[in-house]
Amino acid sequence: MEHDPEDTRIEDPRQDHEVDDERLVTRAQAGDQRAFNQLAERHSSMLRRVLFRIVKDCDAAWDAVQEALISAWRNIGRFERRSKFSTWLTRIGINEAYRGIRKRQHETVALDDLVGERVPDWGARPDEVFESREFLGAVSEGLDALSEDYRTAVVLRDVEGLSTKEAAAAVGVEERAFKSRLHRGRMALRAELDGYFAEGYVG
Amino acid sequence: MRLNPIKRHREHCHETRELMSEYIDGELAEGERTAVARHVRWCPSCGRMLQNLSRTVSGLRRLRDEPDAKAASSGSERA
Repeated sequence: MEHDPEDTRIEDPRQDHEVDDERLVTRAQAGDQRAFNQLAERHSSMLRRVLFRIVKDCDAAWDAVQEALISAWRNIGRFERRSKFSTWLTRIGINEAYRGIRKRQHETVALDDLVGERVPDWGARPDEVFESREFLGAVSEGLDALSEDYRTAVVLRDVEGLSTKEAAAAVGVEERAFKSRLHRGRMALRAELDGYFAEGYVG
Repeated sequence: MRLNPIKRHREHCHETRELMSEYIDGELAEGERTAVARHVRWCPSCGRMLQNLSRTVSGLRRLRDEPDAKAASSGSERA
């Protein structure tokens, strides 16, 4: 077949926004609330974005952010700096978000079942289709259809661009387990998009 | 002992599909990377799946810059 597997690896430049979080954390741990407020201001929009993707509701996301910030301030003395402050805060936020949503049965994608079945071909469409806002809209909708565990993994790693190590720490699982969850989340989303193309999208 | 070629092929498909995310992320060791690349080069189903998964991940990575993307998929734009 013509497909070149080298084309499927993606450049993913990461940006590191950590400037002086360390210094602010030191001051916050000494009881300086203004320093903590600066940390909160710096990271709350990222946190709100992540939690909105998870809970899918603006008010619920905002509530989870507020609860996370309150909890982070109360517990800043226990932050041991084994991860970045933003990772620690994200983990608290995810716990708050999960607390606010109904627990669903963990679903797993049985990859075995897919072997031998026909895999739909998206490849005949021009590249512009996959760069269109309409396609991104379908990706966003598909994301909403995933279980919380999968959605959280995919949002942290792919949408927010955390490293595997950071994302695993934010969720609170080992890297190996995180990678498995991420892969199943991506595969579930890919399967959702198969449905999108099957519905007759004209690119 | 001769292995059933269809069964052997499906085992390769299964192994390849388990590794696709790490392949896309460039996190595989050389041996596994080569095995995935070799399999998808001649297995059309796995080749399509890898390409579709890769496009899915690319779309996800662009979502951060397109917070309103969801609105674009609803309404009359969709054929």
